[in-house]
Amino acid sequence: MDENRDRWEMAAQDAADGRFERLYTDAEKEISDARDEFEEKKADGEKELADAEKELEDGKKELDDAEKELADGKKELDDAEKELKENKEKLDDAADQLADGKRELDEAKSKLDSGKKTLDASGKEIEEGQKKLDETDRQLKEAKSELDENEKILAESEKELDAGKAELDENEKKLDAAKATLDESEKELSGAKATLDETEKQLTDAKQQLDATGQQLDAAKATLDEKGKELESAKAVLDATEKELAAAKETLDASGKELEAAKTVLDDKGNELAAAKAALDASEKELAAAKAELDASEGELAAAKAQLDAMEAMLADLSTKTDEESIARYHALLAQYEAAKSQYDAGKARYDAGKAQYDAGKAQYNAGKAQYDAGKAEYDAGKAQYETGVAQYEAGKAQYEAGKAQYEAGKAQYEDGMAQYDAGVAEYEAGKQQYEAGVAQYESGKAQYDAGKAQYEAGKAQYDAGKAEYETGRSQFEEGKAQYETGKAQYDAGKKQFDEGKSQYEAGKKQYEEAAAQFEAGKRQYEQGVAEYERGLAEYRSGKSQYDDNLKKYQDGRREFEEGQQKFEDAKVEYDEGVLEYEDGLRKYQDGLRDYEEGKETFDREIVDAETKLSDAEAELADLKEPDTYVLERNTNIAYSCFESDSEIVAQIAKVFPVFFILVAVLVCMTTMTRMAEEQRGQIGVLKGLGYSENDIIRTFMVYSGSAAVLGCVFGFSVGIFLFPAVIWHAYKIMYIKLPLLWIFSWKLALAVLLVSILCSAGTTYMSIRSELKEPAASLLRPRAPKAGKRIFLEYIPFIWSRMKFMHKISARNIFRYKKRFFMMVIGISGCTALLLTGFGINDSIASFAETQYGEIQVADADLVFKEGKGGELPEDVAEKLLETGASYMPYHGSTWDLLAGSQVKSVNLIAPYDTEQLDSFFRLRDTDGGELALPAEGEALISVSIAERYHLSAGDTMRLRNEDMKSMTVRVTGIFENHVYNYVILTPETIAAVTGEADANGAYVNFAEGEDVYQAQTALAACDNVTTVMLFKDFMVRLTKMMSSLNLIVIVVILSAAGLALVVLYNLTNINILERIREIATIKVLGFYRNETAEYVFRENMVLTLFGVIAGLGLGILLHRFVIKQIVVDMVYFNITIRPLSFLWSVLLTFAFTLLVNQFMSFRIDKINMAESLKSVE
Amino acid sequence: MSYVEFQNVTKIYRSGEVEIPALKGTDFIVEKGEFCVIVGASGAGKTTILNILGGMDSLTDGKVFLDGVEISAFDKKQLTKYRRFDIGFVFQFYNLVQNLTALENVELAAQLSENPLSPEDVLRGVGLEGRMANFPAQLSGGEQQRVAIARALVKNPKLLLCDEPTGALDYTTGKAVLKLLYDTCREKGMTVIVITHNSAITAMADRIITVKSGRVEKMYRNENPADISEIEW
Repeated sequence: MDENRDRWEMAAQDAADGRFERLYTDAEKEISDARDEFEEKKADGEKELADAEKELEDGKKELDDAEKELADGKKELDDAEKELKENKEKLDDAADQLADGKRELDEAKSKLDSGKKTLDASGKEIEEGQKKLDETDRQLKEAKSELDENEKILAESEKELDAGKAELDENEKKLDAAKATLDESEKELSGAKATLDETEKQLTDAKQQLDATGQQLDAAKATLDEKGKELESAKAVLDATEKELAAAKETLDASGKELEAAKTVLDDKGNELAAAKAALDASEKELAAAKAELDASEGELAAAKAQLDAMEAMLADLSTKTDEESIARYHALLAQYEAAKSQYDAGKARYDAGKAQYDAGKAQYNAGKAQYDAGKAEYDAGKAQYETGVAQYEAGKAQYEAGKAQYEAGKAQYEDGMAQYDAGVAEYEAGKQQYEAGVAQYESGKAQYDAGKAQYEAGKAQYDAGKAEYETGRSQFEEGKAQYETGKAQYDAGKKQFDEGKSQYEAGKKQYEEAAAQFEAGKRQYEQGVAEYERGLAEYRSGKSQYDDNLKKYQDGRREFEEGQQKFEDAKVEYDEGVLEYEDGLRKYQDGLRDYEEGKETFDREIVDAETKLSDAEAELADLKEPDTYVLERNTNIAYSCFESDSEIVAQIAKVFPVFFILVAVLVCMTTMTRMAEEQRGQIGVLKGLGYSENDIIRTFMVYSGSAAVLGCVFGFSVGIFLFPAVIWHAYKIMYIKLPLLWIFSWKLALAVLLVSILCSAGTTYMSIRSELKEPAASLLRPRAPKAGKRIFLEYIPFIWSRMKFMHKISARNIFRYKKRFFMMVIGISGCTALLLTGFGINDSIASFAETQYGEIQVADADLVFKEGKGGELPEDVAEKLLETGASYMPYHGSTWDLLAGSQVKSVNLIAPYDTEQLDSFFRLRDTDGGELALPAEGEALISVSIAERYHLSAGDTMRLRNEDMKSMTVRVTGIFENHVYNYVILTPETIAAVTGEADANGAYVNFAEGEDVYQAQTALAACDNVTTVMLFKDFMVRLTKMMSSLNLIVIVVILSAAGLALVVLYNLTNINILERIREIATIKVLGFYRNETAEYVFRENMVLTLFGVIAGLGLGILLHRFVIKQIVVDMVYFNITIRPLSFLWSVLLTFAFTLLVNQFMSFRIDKINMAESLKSVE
Repeated sequence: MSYVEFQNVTKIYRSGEVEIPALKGTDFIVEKGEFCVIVGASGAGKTTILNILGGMDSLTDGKVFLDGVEISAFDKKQLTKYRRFDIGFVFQFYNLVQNLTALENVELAAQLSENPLSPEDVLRGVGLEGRMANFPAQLSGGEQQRVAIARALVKNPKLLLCDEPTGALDYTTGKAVLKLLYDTCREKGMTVIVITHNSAITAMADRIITVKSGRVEKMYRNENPADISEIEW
C-alpha cells in the first residue's frame, strides 16, 4: 500500500502542480481579458448614454404635438354625440308608435281568427242539428205506430186474463173442500197409526224381551247341557276312580297279609337262626377246649418223643461200648426206653384218636356254621325283601289315601255340581214355561196387531189415493194459477212498458219541437255572424297594409341612425386609442428617463467595482501558493464506514424478516378466514340450498377476501414504503449528516407483496370455504354440532388424572377436543413467543457486543498509534510521557494486510505484540468456549472468530496474507479467538519481519494509572510529536453502542407484529370456540356458574394452550434468533448469539399478557350470551 | 304465602321502538311438593314464565316469590346464586356437555351446590347405574334426559323446572321420563313444574295452569291425578 500510496501521492502532486500552472495562466489571461473587456464596455456605455439622452428629447416634442391633436378630436366627438342622442330619441318614439299599431293589428287578427273558428264550429253544429232533427222525426213516427199496435194487443190480453181468473177461483173452492175431507181422514189415520205404533213398539219390546229370554234360556240350556255332560263324565271318572280305589285297597290288603305271613316266617327263621347260633357257639367253645387239650397232649408227646430220641441216642452210643457197665446200662436203658416207648405210643394213639375226634367235631362245626351262614343270608334277604315290601305297601297306602281323598273331594264337587245342575234345570224349566206363556201372549198380541195394521193400511191406501188425487188437482190448479200469474205479470209489464213508451214518445216529441225552434234561431244567428266577420276582415286588411308601410319607413330611419352611430363609435375608439397611445408614450418617455438615470448611476458604480475587482484579482494571483496533496481512502472516513455497516445490517435484516412476516400473515389469514367460514356457515348453507354452485359460493368469498387483500396491500404498501424508511432515516439522522432520503418505488416489490397478500387471504379462504362446502346444505343451515366427547390419553394415567381437580379435567378434555384449533393455537402462540424472543435477543446481541468487546476482550484503556519506534521500543518522548503518567503499556506492530481466500480478498488487521507476557491485561485471547489460547510461534497465527467463520478457517488450516507492497506470506492457523469488532490476526513480529524485513512497533495498548482522568491523559499523550492518534476504547464503545441503537426500531417492529399475531390468532380461535359452544356456555350459565367461573371454564384452555405455545416458542425463538444473527453479516462486527435471561422472562410475560388481554375482551362476549340460547332447538 | 307465587307479573320485550308484551299481569301459585303443569300454545308466554322463574330473565313489573323470598328483587349476581342453589333445570334438548361423561355431567352440577347429593346415587336413582362412564353421544335420547334430570336433582334444589321434557322424546320414552319426574315429586317431596304444550300431561298433575296470550287463563287443582300409564297422547 505504501508504494501505491507514494505513487498516488506523487501522481496527485503532479496533477495538482499541473492544475496549479494551468489555473495560474488561465487566471492571468482571464484578468487581462477582463481588463480589455472593461475598457471596451466603458466606452460603449458612455456612447449609449449620450444616444439615449437625445432620443428622450425627441420623444418629448412628439408627445406635446399629440396632446394638442387629442384636444381637437375630443371637441368633434362631443358634437357628434349630441346629434346622435337627438336622432335616437326620434327613432324610439317612432318605434313605440309602430309597436302600438302592431299590437292593435294582432289583437284584431286574433279576434277575427277566433270569430272564424266559432263560425265554422257553429256551421258544423247547424248541419248536425238538421240531421239530428230529421232522424228524431223519423224515430218519433215509427214509435207512434208501434205504440198503437201494442195498445191493441194489451186490450186483448186483458180480456183473456179476466176469463182465466174466474176459472181459477172456481177450481180453488173445489180443492179446498177436498182438502178438508182429506185432513179429517188423515187425523183419523194418524190416531190409528199412533195406536198401531205403540202396539208395535210394545210387541217389539215384548219380542225382544222374549228373544233375550229365549237366548238366555238357550244359553242356560247349553250351559246346563254342558254341565250335565261334564257331570256325567265326572261321574264316570269318579266311578272308575272308585273301582280303581277298591282294587287298590284289595291289593293293599293282600299285600298286608302277605307281609304279615312273611313276617312270621322271618321271625321263625330268626328264632331258628338264634338257636343254631347258640349251638354253634357251644360247639365252638367245646372245640376250643378240645383243641387246647390236644395241644397240651401234643406238647407232652413232643417232650416224650424228645426223651425217647435222647434215650435212643444214648442207646446207640452204649451199644458200641463193650464194657459191662455200659452193656448193663444199655440194657437198663433199653428197658426203660422200651417202657417209655410203649407209653409214648399209647399216648400217641390216644392223641391221634383225640385229634381225629376233634377234627370230626371241627368239620361238624364248620358244616353247621356254613348252614347257619346260608340261613342267615337267606334271612337277611328275606328281611330286606320284607322291608321294601313294607315300604311299597306304605307308599301304596299313602297313594291310596291321597287318591281316596281326591276321590272324596271330587265326589263332593260332583255332588255340589249335581245339586247346582238340578237347581239350574229346575230354574230353566220354570223360565221355559214362563217364556212359552210369554210367547203365546205375544203371538195373540201380534195377531191382533196384524189385523189392526191391515185395517190401518187399507184406510191409509184409501187416504193416499184421495190425497194423490187432491195433490194432482192442486198441482194442476197451482200450475194454472202460476200460468195466470205469469200472464198477468207479463201483461202488467207490457202495460207498464207501453205506458212508459208512450210518455217517452210524448216527451221526445215535445223535445223535438223545442229543438226545431231552437235550431231555426241558431241558424239565423249564424248567418248574421258570417256577414259581420266578412266586414271585420276587410277592415283588418287595410290596417295591415298601412302598418307595413310605416314599419318600412321606420326601419330605413333606424338603419341610417345605426350607421351614424357606428361612425361615431369608430371615431370614439380612434380617439380613445389616441389617448391611450399618448399616455403610453408619456409613460415610456418617463420610464426611459428613469432608466437612463439609473443606467447612468449603475454604469458609474460598476465601473468602480470592476476596477477594484480587477486589481483584487491581480493581487490574489500574485499571492497564490503552490498546492499540497493528501490521499484519503473512503474507508478512512469513520462516518462512512459506520454508515455502510449500519445500512448493511438493515439490509440483512430486511432479507430475513419478510419470511417470518409472511408466515405470520398466513397464520392470521388462516384463522380469520376459518372464523369467517364458521360465522358465515348459515349464509353458505342458504346459498348452497338456493342452488348456487360451489364455485359461485367460493368465488363470492374469495372476491371478498381478495378485495380485502388488495385494499390492505395498497394501504400497507403506500404507508410502509414511506413510513419505515422515514423512521429508519430519522434514526440515522441522529448520528449522520442530514443526507437526503431517496424514495424508490419498485414495481416488482409491489407486485410481489400484492401476490403474497392475495395468496394468503384468498388461498386460505378457498381452503376454509371448501371444507365447509363439503357438508350438505341442510346441515350447513344448522349450527355445527358440538363434537362428541372422547377420552383423552391422560385418563389412562390415573396417577395424574386422579390428582387433577374436576374443572381441570374438563379443561384437559376440551383442549384435546378440537385438534385443529389446538395446533393453530399452539403454533400461533409459539410464533408470538419466538418473535418476541428474537426481537429481544437481537437487541441483546447488538447492545452487548461492544460491551463484551471492550469490557472483556480488549480491556486496555486506549490504543496509541505513533510514528515508528525502533524494534519493540516506543519513541523516546512517548515512552517518557507514559512513564510520567504512570501508565502501563504494551507495544505492538500493527498493519493492514489482505487475506487471500480463493478469489476473495479481505482486509484484516495484523497485530504482532511485543511484550507477550502482559498481553492478557490488554487483549484477552480466549477461544469461543472461554478457554485459554497459546500464543502463536513463528509462522503461526491466531485469527478472530469472524474471519474463521466467514472464510471457513479452522485450527490447522493455512492462509495467505499479502501486504500493500504485494509481499505475501503463508501462516498456519493455530487458534480462533473471540472478538466482536474488527478482524484481527495475531502473530509474532518475527513472522512479519521475515517477509517485510522489519516490523517495528507502531502502536501500543495503554492502561492508564488508577484514578487518572483518561481524557487528560489522552490530551497529554496526543501532545507528543511522535504520537499520531490516541483512541480511547471507552469512546469507541459508546459510539458503537449508539450506532446500533437504530436497530431498536427493528425490535419494536418485531414486538408489535408478535403482539398482532398473538391477538389475532387468539381472538379468532377463541371466537370460533365460543361460537361452537354457545349452547354449552348458555347451559352452564343456567346451571348457575358465576361470571368468573364461566369465563374460566372457557379461558382456562387458552391459558394452558398459551403455556404449551410459550414452551414451544422459547425453543423456536432461540433457533430463530440464532438464524437471524447469522444472517446479519457486517464486515467489522461479529455479534453475540446470547440472549439475556431477562429477555426470556419478558417474552413469556408479554405472551401471557396478550392472552389475558384477549380473554378479558372475550369475556364481555361471553357475558352477552343469552341464557335463552340453551332453550333453543338444536335443529 | 304459597311456595311459588307470581303476582301480577308483566314482561315487555323491547326491540328498538317496538314493545312486545310477553306477559300481561300473570298471577299463579304453586304449593310445595306439587306436580304442576303449565300448559299453553306456543307464544302464550310459557317460556317467559320459565325464564323468569328460572332466574334467567328479569321482569318488567310485578313480584315473584319462591319459598318466601322475592326473586323479582334480585340483581344479576343474586340471580346467579338463585339458579345455582335453588333451581334444577331440565331442558327440552337435554343440553348435556358433550365432552363429559354422564357421571361427570352430574358432577359438574354437584360441585356447584353447597349440599349436593351423591352423583352416583342420583344416577343410580334414575336407572343409569350401568351408563355412568358413557359420553352423551353414546346414550339414547331417553337416557340423556335421565342424565339431565339427575344433573338437576343432584344440586338438591328447591324447585325442579322442566321445559318440554318430553318434547324431543318418543312416546314410550317420554312417558318413562314423566314417570321419573312424578316419582321424584312424590318420593322426595320435590316441587316440580313442567312446562309443555301437550295438554294430555295435565291429567297427571296436581295443579294445572293454562296460559294464554300472556295471561293465566285457568288454574285449578286436580284432586285425583291419573296414573301416567293411563295417559295417552
